[in-house]
Amino acid sequence: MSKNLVTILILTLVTLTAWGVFQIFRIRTASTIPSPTQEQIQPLNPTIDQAVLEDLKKALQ
Amino acid sequence: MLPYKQVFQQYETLNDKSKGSFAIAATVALLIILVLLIYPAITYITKVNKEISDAKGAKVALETKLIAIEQARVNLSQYQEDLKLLDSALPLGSKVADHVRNLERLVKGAKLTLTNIQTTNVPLSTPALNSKLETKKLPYSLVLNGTFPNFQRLLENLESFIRISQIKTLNIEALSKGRIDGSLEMESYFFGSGAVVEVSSPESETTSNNESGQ
Repeated sequence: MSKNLVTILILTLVTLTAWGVFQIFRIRTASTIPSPTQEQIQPLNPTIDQAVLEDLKKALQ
Repeated sequence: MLPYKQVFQQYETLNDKSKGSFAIAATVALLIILVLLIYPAITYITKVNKEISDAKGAKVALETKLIAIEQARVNLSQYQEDLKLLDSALPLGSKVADHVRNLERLVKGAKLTLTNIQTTNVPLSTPALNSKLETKKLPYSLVLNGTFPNFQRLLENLESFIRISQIKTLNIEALSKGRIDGSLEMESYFFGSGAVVEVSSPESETTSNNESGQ
């Protein structure tokens, strides 16, 4: 009886530890930045490709 | 007698093996209780650390974006006059009426007769600037009648046409007295939002004698 109880307690401890580890992993991997902010921080390339404009000007000539 | 004293008395009556098992069970039970007690604190600290690191990353990204926006504003003022060119090449919204008018002008300039122009599923409204804009295709087909040199001239005109377009297929059928019937499957591009369902006409699945793109 007591041997069974020890086994059950050890398995419970292992399950609890695994659950805790997975919860911490989930917290660390999920982003806490709200989606509007995520859209706002999308990178922006400010460079204008001059070659395209020159090509368009040539096409008009 | 107090309850814990009864427990001690019972414990004293156990043999060594049972005492060992009881000690292990009590230790594991204590560990379980400790894990349960410490779990909320650990999750809270992890969440706070994660929020701090995410906020630092967002701050850096926002600062970089502000610099990029400022640079874009300078570039925009520098190329303000050329924006009309860009709008002609890749307009906001399909602007199908203007496009058809331009195509008619090109066809007339090449001395051809436009007998049929067909397009399907074209969004006519101009999308809002704050909507999520994407490059969309405007598929259409032209059926023309005329001589081969005039047809060739039209193709040259289309190559120098400012609106970004692509000739997907070209089908030529000879008629009498040097005249030909030509059908063009084309795609022009525009900035639009929402889904545009592409429906290919039966001609696009038939033979293509020539293919050209701009």
